[in-house]
Formats: sequence, C-alpha cells, structure tokens
Amino acid sequence: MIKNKYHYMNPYIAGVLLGMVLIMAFYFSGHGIGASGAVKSVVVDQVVHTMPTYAENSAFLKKYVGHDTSPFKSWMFLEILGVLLGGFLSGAISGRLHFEIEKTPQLTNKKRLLIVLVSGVIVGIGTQFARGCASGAAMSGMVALSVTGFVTFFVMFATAFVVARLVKKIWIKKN
Amino acid sequence: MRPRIFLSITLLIFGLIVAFKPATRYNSLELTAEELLNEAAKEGNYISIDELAHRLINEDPSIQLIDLRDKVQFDNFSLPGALNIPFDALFEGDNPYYINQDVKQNIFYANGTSIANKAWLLSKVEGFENNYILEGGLNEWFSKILLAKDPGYEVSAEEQELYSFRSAVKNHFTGGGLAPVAAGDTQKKSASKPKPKKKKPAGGGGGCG
Amino acid sequence: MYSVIPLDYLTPEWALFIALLIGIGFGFILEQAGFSSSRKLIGIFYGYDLLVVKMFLTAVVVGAIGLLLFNTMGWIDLNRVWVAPLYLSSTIVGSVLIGIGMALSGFCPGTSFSAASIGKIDAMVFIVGIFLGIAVFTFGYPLWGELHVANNLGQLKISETLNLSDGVFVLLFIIIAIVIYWIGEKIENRFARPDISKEL
Repeated sequence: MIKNKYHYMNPYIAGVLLGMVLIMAFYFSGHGIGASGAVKSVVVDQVVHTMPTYAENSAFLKKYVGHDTSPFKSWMFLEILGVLLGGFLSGAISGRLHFEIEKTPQLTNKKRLLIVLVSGVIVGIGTQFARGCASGAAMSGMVALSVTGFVTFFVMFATAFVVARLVKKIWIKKN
Repeated sequence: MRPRIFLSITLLIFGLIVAFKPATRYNSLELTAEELLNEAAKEGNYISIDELAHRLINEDPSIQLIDLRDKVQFDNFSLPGALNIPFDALFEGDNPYYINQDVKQNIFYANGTSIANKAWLLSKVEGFENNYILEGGLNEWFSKILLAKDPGYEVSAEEQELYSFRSAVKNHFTGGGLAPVAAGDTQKKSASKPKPKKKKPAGGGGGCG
Repeated sequence: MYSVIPLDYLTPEWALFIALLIGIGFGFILEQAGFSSSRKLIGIFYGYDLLVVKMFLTAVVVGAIGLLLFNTMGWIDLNRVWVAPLYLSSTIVGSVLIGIGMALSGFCPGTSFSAASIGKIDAMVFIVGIFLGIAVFTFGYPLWGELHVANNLGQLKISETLNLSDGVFVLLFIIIAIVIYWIGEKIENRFARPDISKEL
C-alpha cells in the first residue's frame, strides 16, 4: 500500500466511476471525452477570426471557415471547463488547493517550468498528429474498441517508458 | 487489496455476460419498408432536368449539385458547379458537412436515379434536410437536352417551346457542339462549405481531434 | 458516422450542458484519484506508483463493458459510436511526441487541466505550451499536411481485426486486466519509494 500525504480515492473505485462517466459521454454524444480538442477549438477559432484569408487557404483550417467556431459551442471545450470545475471542487474538499510548482527537489523552479513549457509544445504538436491525447484518442478510443485507440495508447506509453529511462535524473534522486 | 478482488470478480462476471449474450446488433440506419415507400413517394424531392437547367442558366446560387459517381466519371464529365461525393464515401470525412446543412439545396445526381435515390434516402434517415434528386439523372440530361432533337412542326406549341428551351440550354453549356463541357471548367464555382446543421454536435469529429 | 445516438431530441444546448456535467464528473474523479500530481503520475514509469495502470485500465474496461451492455438493452447503436479512423503514420508520430512530453513533464493534456484546477503553476505553463504547440502545428501544416492525412486505414475495430466478437474481446481484455492488476501490485511493492510517496 502506498502512503501518500493526501487522501486519494481508491484507484480501482475511481476507475469504475470514470468508466461510468465515459459510458455517459458515449451515450449522450456518440464519442468519449478528451482534452486536446478544447485547446484546438480555441486556437482554430482565434486563427479563423483574426486571419480569415490565411484560414481559407490553409488545408488544415479551410473546413472551419464559414462555420461557427466559437469554443463555447464546442463539446470538448465545455467539457474541459467542467474538468477545471470538477478538479477544483475535488481539490477544495481534499485540502489540495495550493498555488505551487510541483517538481522534484533536484530541479529548480525555472528548470521545471522550462521543461514543462517545452513538453507542452511537443505534446501540443503531438495531439494534432495523433488526433487526440491520452484521454481522448487513447482512453475513449479503447472504450470504443478502436484500433486507433490501442495503437495510440501503446505507442504513447512505450515511448514514455523509454524516455523516462533516459531522464530518470529529473524524477528520481538516488537515495 | 479487497477492492481489487471484488472488482476482478465483478468484471469477470460482466465479461462473461457480454461475451456470451446473443448479439443484438440492431442497425438504426435501416428504414422500415413502409417508411421507405412513404418517403420515396413524396413528390417534392425530385427536381426535373428542365428546372435544373433553368436554375443553372440563371446561376442560381442556392443550389449545389452533388455528383455521386466515382472520380473517374466525374472528371470525365460533370454538371457545372457540381461537387464530387462518391456514393461509397457519402458520410466519410468532411462530406457530411455538405450534405447536412440548411443553406443550399443539394441536388444529388448520378447516371440514372437509383444511386441518387439511395443517397437521398440515407441522408433522410440521418435527418438531413434540403437534399433533392435530379429526376432521370445524367442519362435524362443527355438524352433530353444534349441530344435534343427537333420535334418538327406537327407538335403542340408547348413541345416546341420545350425544345427551344432545351436547345438553348444545350448551347449554353456546350457552346453549340455536342462535346460536354470539360470537367475542369465546371469546377470553377466550387462550393464553399455551407454551415452544417447543428442538430447534433459532431464533437469535432469525436475523440480529441 | 458522426451523428448522435438514440437521443435525437437532444438540442445542441442540452448537449453542451451535458458536456459540462460530464467534464465536471471527469475532472472530479481525476483529481480525487490523484491525477493532479505529476509526480504521482510519473510513478508508473519508475514503478513506485501504478495509479495510472489501475485507474486507466479499469475505466477502459468498465466503459467497454458499459457500451456493450447498453447495446444489448437497445440504448446505444454501436454502429453510431465514434471509431476514429486510423491514420497510421500520423498517429504513430503523434503518440511518440505525446509520450516524450509525458515522460518529461508528467503531464498529458487531460491531467494538466486537472493539476491546473488545483493551482499547479507548472500545469498552467504546460497548457500554454499546448496552445503554442497547436499553433505551431497549424501554421506549419504545409510542411506536414501530407503526413497528417497519409495512410488512412479506415475505421477499424480491434475486435474485427482479431476476428472476435466485441463481447469475447472484452472478456479477454478483462482477463488480461486482472492479470495486470496483480502484477501491478507486485511491482509497486518491489519498487516502492515511500520517500517520494509521502510528499504527494
């Protein structure tokens, strides 16, 4: 058993509950949940509105021109707002609300923020190629039994495993 | 420890249930025979070649021709301003954006009418509106307009008029010759994507993409 | 297919409201389980915290069972459930990139929102990164547009590729999951790092 500082829900139970949430998502919308779609909808909306001619000529964006691209009409965006709300509630009742930079002791704040920013960019690019992220493409994909879901999941985690071996220093201090 | 065991057993039981229950793959894409007949019988969903010709000559912007044949046939000849959505890919990729909208009137056509009928029916089941079928398809267009023969003097004034109209149409589209307008020219007025009907959110294509 | 399941009376406004509710549920559970901590999440790669394995796997299994059960009851038409088309090259490239980002930061987009919601500044910076990344992708599209849409193998279901019925596949999946649960516990015991865990 792992002893954590904070009290967390049993992961198995949480998994069952999350599975039920996934079922509800599929039932009401025909697709699962996700996160990268929300960010994408904001980016697309901004570009289409501020650079309409560019958008018309862009193979990636032209399908959005002339449509209502407001994030507030995007399912994923509303869902992510919910995620923020739900997370906040959970953090509030569990005493986990702090402004902090979570990192291992061996990193400085600056280093951590830099790593995280660069990772974010890499992940951002990755989500567009993968047409999703861990929750959307992988998790929801596997619930629907799609090959894409399984492929995404395995490649993602296999890669992360390998990279984790290489960057062990930033996470684990030899004791 | 305990939740794990309890969970495993429960999952196994459910797993056995879903593995061995009889497969109920019901297909909501199928209309009942009655619904099929009812829908097919309604007049309003057909547009005659004459009416189409009228609209095309007047460059009516409210219509959008949709060619349901494959690309090879489409490149060989197609009606002016037509969009190629091969029937086999009717609901794939971006195509639903064109078929499920309430800005233009889509006119499905193929060589005959059976494919256009099918496409129209499939769209109808999905709840898409504003789709029509070109009566007689390209075969009719060819035989009645491009190959229109002078009916002579022994016919009614109406028939004479119809013939004049049709030859005018033919001249308009072919510049006098029998050769169909090259597919390249007809592409110029390519459709800009109309707003899809937001009856059911597409969720950005599902997942996170 | 991109249309929705039997609830055809659902207006777009309701659908969006439900999206919000589902998000709240998702966010709450994620944070309650500990996905708001990047250090806890990275534990899967070093063996000291297999939270991701337990939670993720269970959620997928329960979700898959649920879909099949709903289908039996006639509440969901499986044909209308979104199965993402497999753009093989693009998916692999994308997944590799996400994997790299995950190992470096301990975040993936979903968990970063969870962490940001409780005040983690590094998570917020990560999210800024995601925006930038997507912008980079958008403006650089001419460079990789072809790769993005290459190799479309269509909407494949793993049960069909393996020539199994959905139910049988799910049963096998459940058995594998249970085995993984047990192996997981062993790994956690072997690679435990109480010094790290007690800080999270």
